[in-house]
Amino acid sequence: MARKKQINTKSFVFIILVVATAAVAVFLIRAEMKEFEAIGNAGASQQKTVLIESADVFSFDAELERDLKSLDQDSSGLLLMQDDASLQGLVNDLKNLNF
Amino acid sequence: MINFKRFCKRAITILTAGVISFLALFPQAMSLAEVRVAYVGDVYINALKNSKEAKKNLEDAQLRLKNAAEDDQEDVRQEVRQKGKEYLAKTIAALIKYLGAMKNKAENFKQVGEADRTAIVSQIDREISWLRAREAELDGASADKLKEISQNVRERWLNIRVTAKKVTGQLLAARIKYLIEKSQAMAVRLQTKISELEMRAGADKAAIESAKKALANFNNKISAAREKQLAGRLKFEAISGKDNASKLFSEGQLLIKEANQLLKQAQKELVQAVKKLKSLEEKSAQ
Repeated sequence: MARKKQINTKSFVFIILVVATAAVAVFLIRAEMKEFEAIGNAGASQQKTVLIESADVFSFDAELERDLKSLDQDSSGLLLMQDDASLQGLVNDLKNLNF
Repeated sequence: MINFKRFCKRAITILTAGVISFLALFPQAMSLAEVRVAYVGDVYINALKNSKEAKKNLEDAQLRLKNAAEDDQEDVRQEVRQKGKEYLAKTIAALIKYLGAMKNKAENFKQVGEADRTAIVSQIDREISWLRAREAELDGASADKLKEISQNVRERWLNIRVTAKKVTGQLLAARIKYLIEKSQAMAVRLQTKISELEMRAGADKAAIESAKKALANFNNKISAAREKQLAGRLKFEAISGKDNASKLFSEGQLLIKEANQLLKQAQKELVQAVKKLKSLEEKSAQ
């Protein structure tokens, strides 16, 4: 009887682990899908709809703060990319080619 | 007592099985992961490396030509031409990968309207198509044709730099526009909330007025941000060539920075407005 109880406890722990993993995966994937839905939809009505994530007005300030932080991070990467000087030297040296 | 090693092995097996089953049931999860991974930063870096290696090989071949005996000169000269062609091909490939990385950034840049995104991506696609056409011409091209392609690519590079600046500015302007529109939508809902609280019996009139003032300040900052964003967007849209690209880009960037600052100030006003509304809600619930 004691041995059977031990097996049931183990199985219970494993089931909890699997369910917890699935729950975390669902949460992460849903957050991604929400984000990419906004990017993927191309209808005119979608263009006019602005996505406020928060269900209640009392979270608006936190949501806007997150958006502004995210903008700062994304724009620095973008600005670095447009100013990439690596190609300049390579393209300049094309003028020395003799065919 | 649980055997710890066996416990860990089993836990890892079941966790892995759980994740794989979940991904199999929800194929969107894999495609979303692919989209995330599709940022082609590494691909561009590798293409740059290849181009630099090709340049080194060309320089080595040119040096061998300098030191070559008379009998060997023609062979080495052929080798120099071949290395030159490879260098041209790899440089075009690197330019294409660079634009591919920019396009990926544009396609995945969050909170940008679809019309804006499509217009931006199409500019990048135009440059990619042009480069691919030159790439296709390399095969079997004569020496004169290779010279012509090389010259054209150098000239087109100036266009590509202009396009990179323009689309960067347009993306930033579009993102700020999205946040401004979102803030305006938030303001409408906040106004509705204030009106609702105002209608409740025993509402604190002074507190309501204070909340209205905070909301008005929020709206003023958003309006000011909108003006800066529009002005910045016009600067970027006016970029037409290498003669005006740097100047207009800098001016546009400054205006977008100012719009961003105003949005941050607006967010502080929003914090005040939300604080006051929360307190009113709590009081009215008592």
